[in-house]
Amino acid sequence: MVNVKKGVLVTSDPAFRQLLIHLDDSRQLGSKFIVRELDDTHLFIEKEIVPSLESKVEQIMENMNPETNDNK
Amino acid sequence: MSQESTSTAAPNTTGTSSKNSCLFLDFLISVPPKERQRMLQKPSCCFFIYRMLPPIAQQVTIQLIWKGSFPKADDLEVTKSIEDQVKLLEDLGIVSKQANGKYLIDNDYKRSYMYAAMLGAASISSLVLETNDEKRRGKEVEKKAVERWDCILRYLALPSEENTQAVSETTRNLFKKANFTSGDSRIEITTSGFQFLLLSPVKQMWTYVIEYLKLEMSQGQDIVEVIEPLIQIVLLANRGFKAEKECYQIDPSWSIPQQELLNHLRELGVIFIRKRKDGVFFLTHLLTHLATNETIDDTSAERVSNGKVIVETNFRVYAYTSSLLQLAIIALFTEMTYRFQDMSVGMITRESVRGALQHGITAAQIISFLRANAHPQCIATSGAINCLPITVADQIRLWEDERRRMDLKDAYIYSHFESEDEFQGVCDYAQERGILLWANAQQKLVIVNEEGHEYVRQWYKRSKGGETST
Repeated sequence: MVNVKKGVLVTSDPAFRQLLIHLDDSRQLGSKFIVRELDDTHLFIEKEIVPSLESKVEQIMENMNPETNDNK
Repeated sequence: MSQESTSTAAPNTTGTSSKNSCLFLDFLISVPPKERQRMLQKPSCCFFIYRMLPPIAQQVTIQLIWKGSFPKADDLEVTKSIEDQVKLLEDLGIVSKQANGKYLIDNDYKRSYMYAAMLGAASISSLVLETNDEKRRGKEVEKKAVERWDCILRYLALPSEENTQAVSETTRNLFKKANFTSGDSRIEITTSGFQFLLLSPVKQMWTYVIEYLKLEMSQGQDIVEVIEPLIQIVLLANRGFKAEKECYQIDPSWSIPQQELLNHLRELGVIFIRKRKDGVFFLTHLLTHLATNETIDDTSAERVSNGKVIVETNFRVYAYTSSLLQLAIIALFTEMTYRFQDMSVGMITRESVRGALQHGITAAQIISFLRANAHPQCIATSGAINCLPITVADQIRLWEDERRRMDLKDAYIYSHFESEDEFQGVCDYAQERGILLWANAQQKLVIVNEEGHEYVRQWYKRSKGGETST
């Protein structure tokens, strides 16, 4: 019998995919959210997690970008 | 003859092969066929539609009108672009395909076009030219016209008390309906509103007019009644027309919606009326914006308005303008640091650009805005594209890309197929319908987009009456 599941398809670069897998493994969002790891650039994740995932990602990216315009 | 016309059509392909982007034609397609047919019966409307068509579509209509057929091209690419244009004409109801594969031009269109072509644009508009009366003209028509249009843009960019009063109730309504502003008591500009501000003047004006027509249509107003005088006025903007010199009679027999339209054009600054009781209106230079075929490269129109912005490679922005509107738009994506009498300095920073991106403005829009408004000296030294330093343009694009690390799509995943055939069947079917997002034969997984789920369910019902478990 075929199985159907609703969710969200994530397309990203491999490095970013690795970050998502890390977030999933370390349960930083409170729970696991990856349904399936598809290939190097695709993941299938739970729909409910999307808002908190987006804000988490934003926060991580911010930390990785120190203020660069010192030439002010 | 056929040889010649195909070769004249060919050079235009690159320009028009891109998706038809003319707002007016798009709107026309959305008008119910019955109303559209009535428009095709009016010579002025026909003539105007013809003008707004992309070059190849114009060729095709002309050939169909005079010869009853249009030549086939031997080049595959040219054939494709001709097909696209014919499709556009079909959507517009100007040509129709017969059972034998031949195309037939609409009779009403043919008659009206020929009538219009014989008379010329100015005479079919049937507006009465009045003798020019200096007294009725008022002073500085041109300046006032530009001010009017600026008022409207300023209302969007800086919705303060004072600016709100400067625009009419209908305009406020219109922006709200067009989803450019939101909120009832405190007006806030939306994403599409921001994008509107960054458009070229030609596109802005057309967007406004089209939104107005949509508003009228949604209120059950007869669209042909409004669109006809609009087109008649726009048609007056012939090449070399004398703005402010010619005045036309306001026909007292015009209906209330038509008078409304006139009021609106007055608010836009497209026409000038000193006092309503004068009974005449003047045309201003802004009218040329409406008369421009948007599909034709509109950089020429932009170049006329000389830009005032200099961007340096160190991301500093100098704006030699005191116009609050210009500054407000620049401040959308720059951190303003100094403001002087006639010049302001700002800085394009990661934060400021990200702020704009979060509002839904795209990097391409920022870049094209900076290019379109570049200082003439920048253009003279580095050309139309490099007037914005490449480093800056690239960086703005990079800042945008950095926000797009992941692309999310709502989807349904199918797994545990019973057989190879079943997997292949769903996969092929999804591909065919264009709903397939991802599939893998080894893992036997199929992912379809959100609306695709229903289709796949139907496919299952059809193929074996089997059930899918959710």
